[in-house]
Amino acid sequence: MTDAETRLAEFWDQTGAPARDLIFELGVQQAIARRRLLIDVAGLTVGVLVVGAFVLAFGRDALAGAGVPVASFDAVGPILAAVAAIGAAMLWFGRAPADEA
Amino acid sequence: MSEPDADLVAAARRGSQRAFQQLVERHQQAVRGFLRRACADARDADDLAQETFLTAWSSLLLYRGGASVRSWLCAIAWKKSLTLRRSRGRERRRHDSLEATPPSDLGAEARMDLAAALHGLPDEQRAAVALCLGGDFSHSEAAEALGLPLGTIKSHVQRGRAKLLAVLGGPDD
Repeated sequence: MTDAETRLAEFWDQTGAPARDLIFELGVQQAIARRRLLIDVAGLTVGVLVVGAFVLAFGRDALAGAGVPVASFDAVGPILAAVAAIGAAMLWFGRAPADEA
Repeated sequence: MSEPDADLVAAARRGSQRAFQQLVERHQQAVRGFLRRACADARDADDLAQETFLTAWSSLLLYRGGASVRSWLCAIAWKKSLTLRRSRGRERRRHDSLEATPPSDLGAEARMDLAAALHGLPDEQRAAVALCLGGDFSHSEAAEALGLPLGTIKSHVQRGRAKLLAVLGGPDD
């Protein structure tokens, strides 16, 4: 190997990246966790909107059909919202850890 | 014995964060090293490397297994670096990061000259040199990563190497 080749090899050594870099790896892990959270929240939001729209569209008829005395559907709204929120929270906190998926 | 990349990719597709993290550990050096040599700035290089892994994570289903994982990652990294460069233009100095390397026998002047020569190479030639000479990529892997014919890669590496050696006063054949 000539002197120039040796110095070129040294240049490559100096401009490389370390074999391990925990800060970088942690940064990637956090970026993925943020992305995963966004995806989960977006999915949950869509789910809640779909259920909400369904309830708004068919809730009154469904309750009436089930024989539930509903004087005012508006009065049932907060109860349904609470049930939906509790269901969403149960789904959220009941998720399997990523590595068990 | 460590798991093959293909198994880790399969596990990551099933949602294993640990498997993907192993891929990051295994290939971060190659991706970051490539970007540091091919990019304008070390900070850009590491940001791009992080974006590369994030894109890879969300595109796991697109990985077909034809190329090695590190070639696939470097292909993503290369596309990102070209996009950044096009969007940013040439307003920033191109060899800041390489000048900031620690002192050594190589000498600051020679290091700066080499950095300037490296960044003076055409984009594809610089990328081929960074992968095959700077990294330990084979010509075939570099061809996969850069989406270029094998012969073109060989030619880029040979010419790029000659230009860099000429800067150091070595043989430029």
